[in-house]
This record gives sequence, C-alpha cells and structure tokens, in this order.
Amino acid sequence: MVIVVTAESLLKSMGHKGALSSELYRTAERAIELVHTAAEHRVVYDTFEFTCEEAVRVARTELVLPGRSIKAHIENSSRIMLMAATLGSGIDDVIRTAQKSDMALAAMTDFAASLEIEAFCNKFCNSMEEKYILTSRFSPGYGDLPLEVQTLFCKTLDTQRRIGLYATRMHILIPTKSVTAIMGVN
Amino acid sequence: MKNIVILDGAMGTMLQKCGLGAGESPELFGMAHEDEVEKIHRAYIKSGSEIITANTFGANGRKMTFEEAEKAIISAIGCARRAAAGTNVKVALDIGPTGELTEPLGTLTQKDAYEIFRHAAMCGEKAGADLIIIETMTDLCEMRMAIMAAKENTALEVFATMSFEARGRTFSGTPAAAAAIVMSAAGADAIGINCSLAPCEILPMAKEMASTVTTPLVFKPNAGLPDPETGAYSIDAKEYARQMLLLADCGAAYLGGCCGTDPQYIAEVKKVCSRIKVRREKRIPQSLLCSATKVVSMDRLRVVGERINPTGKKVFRQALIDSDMDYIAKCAIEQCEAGADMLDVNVGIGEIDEKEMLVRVLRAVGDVCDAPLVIDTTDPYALEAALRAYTGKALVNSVNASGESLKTVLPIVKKYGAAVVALTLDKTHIPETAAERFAMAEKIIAAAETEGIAPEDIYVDCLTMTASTATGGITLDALWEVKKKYAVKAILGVSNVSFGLPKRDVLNSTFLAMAAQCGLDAAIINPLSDEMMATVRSCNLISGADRDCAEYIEFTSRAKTYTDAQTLEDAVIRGLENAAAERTAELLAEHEEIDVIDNVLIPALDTVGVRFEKGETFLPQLLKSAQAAGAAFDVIKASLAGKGEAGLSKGTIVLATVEGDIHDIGKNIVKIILENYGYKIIDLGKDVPPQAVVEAVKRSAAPLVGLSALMTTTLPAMAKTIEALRQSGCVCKVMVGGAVLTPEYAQKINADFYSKDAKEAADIAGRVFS
Repeated sequence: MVIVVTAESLLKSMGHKGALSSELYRTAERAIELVHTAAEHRVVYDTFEFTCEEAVRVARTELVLPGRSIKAHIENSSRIMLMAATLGSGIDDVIRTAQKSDMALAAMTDFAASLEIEAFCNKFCNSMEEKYILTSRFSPGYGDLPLEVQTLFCKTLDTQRRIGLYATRMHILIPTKSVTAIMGVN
Repeated sequence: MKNIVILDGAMGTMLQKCGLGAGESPELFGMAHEDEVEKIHRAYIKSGSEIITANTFGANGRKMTFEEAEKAIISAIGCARRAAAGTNVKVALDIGPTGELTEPLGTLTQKDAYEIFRHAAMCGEKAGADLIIIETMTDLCEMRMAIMAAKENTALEVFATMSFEARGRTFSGTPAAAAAIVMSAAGADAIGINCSLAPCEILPMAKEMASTVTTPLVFKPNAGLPDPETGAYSIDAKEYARQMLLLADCGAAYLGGCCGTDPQYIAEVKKVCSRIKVRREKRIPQSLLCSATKVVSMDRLRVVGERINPTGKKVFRQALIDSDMDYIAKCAIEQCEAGADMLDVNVGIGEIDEKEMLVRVLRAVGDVCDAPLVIDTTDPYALEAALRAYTGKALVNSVNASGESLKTVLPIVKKYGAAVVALTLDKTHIPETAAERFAMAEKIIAAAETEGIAPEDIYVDCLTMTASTATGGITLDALWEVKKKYAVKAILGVSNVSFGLPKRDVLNSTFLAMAAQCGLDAAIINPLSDEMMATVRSCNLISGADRDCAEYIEFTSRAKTYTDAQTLEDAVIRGLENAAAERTAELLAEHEEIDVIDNVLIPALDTVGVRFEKGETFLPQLLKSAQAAGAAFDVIKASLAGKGEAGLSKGTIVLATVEGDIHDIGKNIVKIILENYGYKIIDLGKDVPPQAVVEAVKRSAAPLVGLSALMTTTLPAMAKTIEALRQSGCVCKVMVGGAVLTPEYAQKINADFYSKDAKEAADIAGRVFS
C-alpha cells in the first residue's frame, strides 16, 4: 500500500467529529486492510511531442485534446506525458461484496481506495520528477477538456492490454479507482 | 510423438515500424497497406513459422461496425493466404478481446460477447482461415464465450491463450490453473498463455497449466518489456530462444512470439526448438473444481455449504419469490467467510422460473465469492442453462442410476466439462444394503466412462439416511467399498443423519468423522455450525492434510468481537447489528411486530437521521445504524413469515442508476436507508435503460422512482428516462440524486424532487407516501 492511512485519519477525512466508537474504528481498520490486500497498483505512461494550434494534437497518435484549459496547461512544455493508473478490479470486487453485508465498511473502503489512487498517482509523479520537470496532472473532464476524450486516450496508451483499464462507451473508467492524466514535460 | 509447431511473432509492433500510430487500428491500417501486411507474413514464413496469424486481432463488432469487421477480416485473411500460397503454412484467424468488460464490472453481457465472437469466427472461416486463435484475453467469462462461439459455429480448431501478470493471475484475478481448466472444458483444442511477460516469467504459469490439464499447450511470450524512451524490448532474439527452451521442456506443443518479437526471434526459436518432440509428464489425475478466480482440489475433506436451498426455509423461499439477490448473496458470503470450500445452489420452488432464477443466482453468488459452485437441480433445462452461463468448473448435483437420468444428465455434464454427483439410487427405490448401493455406483461410473467422463470427476453419494430409521453403517460400508475399488471421489449430505433427533450437531459431526475415515472427500453441511467446522478441521489435521496445522489454528483462534446494548433503541443508535437482532427477538416475545417498528425502530432511526442532518454524526455512522435496523427488520420479517403473515410495507419505490452509468454505491446507500423506513425497494441495478425503468414502474405501480447518475456524460440518460416515464403515462413521482446533480438541473429535466443525500431521500419518500 502506498499511503500510510490510519483508521483515525480515514475517519477524520470522511467527516467524523468527536469520540470514536470501537465498532467504527474496527470497521475503518478493516476497510484499510481490504484496500491493502485487494489493491494491485499499476501505471503506464508514454511521452510524445505535440502541436498547439486550435487544439493540442499529440504526435504519432490520433489523439486531439480540445479546449483552452489543456492548452494553457501545457503550452510552455516541450513534450506531453500521458499517464494512466489503476488499483485494479479487485478493489471494485471487495467494495461490491462489502455492500451486501456492511454498507459502512463499503463506504469506508470506497473512500480509502480513492485516497489510495490519488496517493499512488502522486508517488508516480514524484518518481518521474527525478528525470523530468512536470506540470501538475490534468485529467479528461477538467476545465473545458471534454470527458469524451477518455476513450481515445485509453486506446492511445493501450491501457486495456497494459494495465487492464477500460473506458466504457459513456467514457467512464473501469476499474473505478483509476486515473488518467496529462502532464507537460520539460 | 509430434514435433513442436512454430507459430509466428508480433504483428502490431511490426506494423508500428511501418508507420502505425499509437491507438490507431492495426486492422484498418492493414486494409490500406495490404502489401506491407503480406510482406510481414512472408518474412515470418521465411523464418520458419508453420502457422501465421492474420491481422484481425481487433476486427470485431464492438471495436468497429460489423460490416467493417467483416471487410477487415476478408482483407487480412486474403493477405495471409497470398503469403502462404504454395506452402504448407496454415492461416489462423486472430480474435482478441471485444474491448469491453463483462458484467458485473462492466456492462457487456454473455449474450452480446457470444454474438460478437460468433460473427468474427464465421467471417474468418468463410474468408478461408484454417484455424482460430483467441488471444490476449484477461477476462475468463469473455474467453469462454469466444471459445464456445467459435466451436459451436465453425468447424475450425480453436487455440485459446490468456495474458497474465507476474503474480500468476490475469487482471481480473483468474489464476493459470482455473484458466486452463475452463478453456479446456469450453472445448479449446489447445490452450496457453500469450503477451505481457517474457518466456522465463511465464514458466511458472506454464508448469501450472501443464500439471492441471492434458490439453496441448501454446505459449507466445513478449520479448520482455519495452523501454519507455526508446521502445526497444529488453530481451534479444538469442536470449528469447534460450528462454523458450524452458517452455519447450515443460510440454509446449506450439511456440510463438508476441509483442516485441519479429522474424529474427522466430528464426532463433525455430533453430532451437523445432526438432524437439512434444512431451508431457504423466499427469496424476486430480479432482478439481473452480470458479473464475479459485481452484479447489479434493486433496482434503472439503466443505460444501448447504444453505442456499429453499427447503424448509420460509424466509429464503420468500427471497426467491421477491428476487432478493442481496439476501441470497449475503447467504453466500456468510458461508464462505465461515470456511465453505464450495457452495451448493438450489432454487427449486414451484412459484418461479427455475431456469431463469438459477442462472441469476449463480451470477449473484459468483459476484461476491470465489467458491466453486455445486449446481443442485432436477430440471435438465435449468441445468444446461446454468452450466452454459457458469464461468468455472461446477459440480452437478446430481445424476442417479436410473436410465432416464443417465441419458439426460451425463451428456450435459460432458458437454460443459463439469463434474457430477452420482446418487446410488434409481427411480424405483433407495437400496437398503451396501452391496446394492455399490452396484448402483458401478452402473453410473460405467455409464459415465462411456460418455467420456473421467472417474476423478465423479463424486459418489452413498446416501445419508436418517439414523432413527436406518443404519448409518450401510452408507459407510458402501462408501468404503466404492473408494477402495474406484478412483472416484465421495460426497455426502451429512445433515440428514440426525433428522428428527436431538443434539443434531453432535450426531452430524460424529457421522462426518466416521465417513471421513471411510474416504469421504466432500461433505454438504452447514458451515455456520462451529461444531461441524471443528470436526472438518480436526479430520484434516489428524489425517495430515493440514500439514502445518494452519487451518486448524486459524479456525480455533477466531475471536468473535461482540458489543452488547441494553435496548433496541440503543443498539440502533450505536449501530450494533447483533445486539439489535437480539433485543428485537426479546421485544417480539411481548409486542406485535408493527409496534416494535413504529414505537422503537422508526423513532431510533429518526434520532440518528436528525444527528446526521445536523452534522453531529457522519455517513458511516448513519450506515451502521441502518444496518443494525436492517438486522432488526430481518428478525421481524422472519417472525411475520413464521406466522404466515405478509411483510409490512409502507409503499414501493423503484431505484436505478441510469443507462451508461456503472457507479451504484450511492444508490445502494439510499436503498438501505429507505428499506429502514419500511419501503419495499425494487432495485434495478446500474446501467438501466429507460424502458426497463418504465416497465418496472408499470409492473409494480410504484408511486416513486429514484434515479442516480454520477457523471456528466450520463445525465442525458437521466433526462431520457424521466421523459420515457412521463410519456408512458406512469403516475409516479421522480426523485434524482448523484454527485453531478444540482437542484437547477433536476428542475430542468422535469424531476419532481432533488435529493442531496440518503436522508433527504427518506424525507421525500415520507412526503410522497403520506
């Protein structure tokens, strides 16, 4: 597991105030344990050249990133990095199963897994920063970059074959604890 | 003995050298560059490939239109045929994944997957393919549909390979052994592994497959990993060939290369491996069952959970009639957590369509636990539908010695590669001597052999009769004799021995231990009984199967943490499920069910709800309270069922996550809260088309519908659903919720209510139903 999340910090992040009952504490510990055992951290990335006219076009691919937000984000970079990360389908399995018998556990596991994927992405970016200077992450759906870009993004990185990450026809990522992002590289 | 056959190498990475862009379709590129494709095929043939794979990996009706797919297949097979002209080289249609995930993670149904693959396979055969290679699959359900579609609709041989991670499983959690079992059972002529890993990394999984099945093996590894900067693969041709020798050693019949390989790699592999004869170690027969994610070997006394069965269980019966899949799923989870190795699934009641229900329940159970399933039905149509839908190797319960049963059941068992329970009785009577039961066992074993079912897939059941009326010794003697003479397995439904007698667990346990000593391999019992599980763990410890005492120690050291509460109100507010159930049972001794609900439960929930609204408590606490209330409700429902009374319901609400959206935890949270307040919920699940919502509302006359959506891309589906409801004339109110919803948008799409959270949903329901 990437992040060191304690039961207390998980509960606090979810909005808990005041005294902690032992049941809640136990459930939070169990949620963290579930994420720890079920998560399969996977990440892929590729760097490309790009052009910046009416939209950002990624070289050697069919990927076009429209809108002003993404342009502003990377126009001062020399290359563009596409990354995709996931915690795998095991997490979705445990969350689905937990919902049948303990919805509180399911909600906590869901929340803890969301914290985990973000932390994993941060760790990845930190490791890249040993080689590159990177902008912050910019994902499909941010600003005026349409979510619809997701499907071609995944195809371009061949995420299905490399890390088992799919985009549905409604451009939703499965497994659900997954992130796709664009960064400018210098 | 045959020589190893050399396949070809990568096409994708070769096309990239010809200018194929990242994310571009290799098949469409190939149609515009047929000469290049043909050149690649010729290069592989020159290097020694005996089977070349056409450039059709993504040519299916999901990644492109069916028409485009057909054109791509015809073009690609044409290129391959031209390259192979004048040689003995065979041309294979290449089938890759559809590009969508199957249920429950995704939305692709088995039926859809089957149709997509059927189309591709038939186009390939028509275009002149000699065989079909299905590869790079990670989803066992999808793979199985592909194999079945190809075998059932063409006359071609089918090779099937899956992609694994170094941990030994596919992305969706399928281990190599389960993949081998299921691909072989589905009818593949050769099975194995391709992509993702280098030859030496594939070796452990290759060995696992080789020791699990006798099906010929295929391996097409990658040339290591690509360098992120240069794209060059880490293993060169000579090293690759050297590693491939290891795979040849473990029994490969077909060797080829995947990503990063080229004709040079194939030439080196040919040099090193082509004169090697295929040799397989003599396989020790094993009795194996599996789900998509777990293989269970009968290498010790195994537990079959008996609780998914309506016999004598009013609440379970009602759950089947109500299609309450959550209840059934919970039943499965409980048994698995208690240590059941397999689960018996029986849904045979007159009020429902057994065939349809059995398939649904198999899926619902498979979605939440990985225990292989025992399919318990006397209806051959239900059995066939169940085996067809099941992604795994199931145990069929059962066949008996009557001619009719042997004729009907054994062919179905053989067709789907299942195992079968053999009951030593026939249509006319239950044999009363051990010798007669032994004779019935022999009859079934012989008939199974004729049908091609191996002894290791037969589980003989010598019938457990009630000890008060028949001698258990007859069962044990028959069991002993059968196991002595035949290499079959033995199974018994243990609980029957104590029917009508006191201290059932003690009697069951003793009979179980005696049967274990006579050779019992699997016991159908209640895994929630500590006494029974203790007996199983003890038997396995004493026999030496539990070598390091690990299972025994784990079982005996399970701590049951239990916090009590003085009153039901307290238990609900503090979220204590067990205490809530106990306090409810106590209250029901003196009060009517409706009084407990109205005077204790609902006020307690209101207290919790108010604290949540004020921000004094947060979501997990609300949910824990809801679960405690749910446990109380379960006790109340059971009490009512026991009295023969109908359940209490304040009204019916239909819930759905709209079409295209697969996030449903929010909707499920709303469901649990609404159930707490006494509403009957019809949960349509996720990715629900507008028409299905309309039909559910019409069927149930539900006055309120709740719709949820979590992405901006699926909001239009919500608007469409509401429009469909209005147009159909349904007189229902609609409430909407989800992270992207706002009160303004709710108004815009003509919803009646916007619900910001589960508590507000309960308040809205209260207003609608008052």
